Amino acid sequence: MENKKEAVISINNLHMSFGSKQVLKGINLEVYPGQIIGYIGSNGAGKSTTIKIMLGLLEGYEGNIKIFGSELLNGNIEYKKRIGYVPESAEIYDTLTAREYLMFIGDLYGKDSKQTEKKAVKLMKLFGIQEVLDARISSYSKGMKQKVMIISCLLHNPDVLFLDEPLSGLDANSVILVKELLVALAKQGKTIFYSSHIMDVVEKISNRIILLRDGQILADGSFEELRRKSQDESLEQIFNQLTGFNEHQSIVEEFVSIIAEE
Amino acid sequence: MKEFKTLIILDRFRKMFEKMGIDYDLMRRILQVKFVMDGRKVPSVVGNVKEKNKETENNFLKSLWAYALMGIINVIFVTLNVSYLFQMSLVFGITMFMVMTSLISDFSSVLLDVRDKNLILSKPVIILR
Repeated sequence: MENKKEAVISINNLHMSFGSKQVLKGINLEVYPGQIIGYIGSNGAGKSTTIKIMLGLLEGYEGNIKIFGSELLNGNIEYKKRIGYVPESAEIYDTLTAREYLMFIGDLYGKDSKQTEKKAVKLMKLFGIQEVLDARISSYSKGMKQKVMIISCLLHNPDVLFLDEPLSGLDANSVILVKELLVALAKQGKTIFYSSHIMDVVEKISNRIILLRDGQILADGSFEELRRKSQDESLEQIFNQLTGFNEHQSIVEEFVSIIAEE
Repeated sequence: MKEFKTLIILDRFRKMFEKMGIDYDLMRRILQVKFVMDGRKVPSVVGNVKEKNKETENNFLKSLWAYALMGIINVIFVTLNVSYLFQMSLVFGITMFMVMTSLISDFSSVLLDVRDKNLILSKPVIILR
């Protein structure tokens, strides 16, 4: 399923530190169109940092990043027109209505506003939230907000999607919907970076899994390859084994006993 | 989207912005959205009763009433016949306090929005440094 065309994203020897703490210690990565990459790692491993650097939200990194063939350091922001982002922190201008917000996002991407509005209404209808189109986002439930954010990252038909926990807050129907949507988009040739802690979803939809630990890539390959290498059944177990975590039993016992202390 | 008088006035300075290399239409759009959001915020200007704000630039005009009230209170202090130094210190103290607090409360929500970084910077918007 991987088209070995030109790499959409190529990261070379990426280092990043926040003050004295080095968060990324040499990331090397090449991403091709049509791949769904499951980007996983322990808390604080550097997943969101890598994504933010690629989006231009963080500066001060060392190394080489090329998106769509041109260097990020050029200062050219045209590549952002072809990227969509769903952040983990569901930040949104919640005093606006969904219609206003989506039209604003469309304008930021330089798209025609009438067309954006039409698209937005249709997409909201498909997600089943068209009744609240003109109500303020602050009155929405978490799942509805999440749906608006997913729509907002797809409106401009991006070629690369960065999704950080996109399924959080969605009901079971919408989860299936979004999973199928991602597979369909990847078939079209879009690249999807799917970062999540929910291992079964990652294992099911991604065709390439990248495990990050302590700022370095620990594993990179399809789910089958990883399974062959470590002889474990599920991605969760592979993750535990690769990150060297097997004391959960004793930690749990200690946790419970501390809570019960008088 | 609503039309704001301030933006119409700003349109006169279009050439100046474009000379600085700013995409004027985009900037105007962002400002428009910011004004809409500002108009919808719960009013926090001191002296404003918690009434539902209409969606215009009334926030600015309403805060002018608060300043008028402050002016009247200052008049009382100026006309006392104690000593000019004491009176004017009181007047300046009150004025500075009122201006400072209303400045902070009015502008922080519009200008210093933390969400802007993730929301606007991840889109193709040129940032001047």
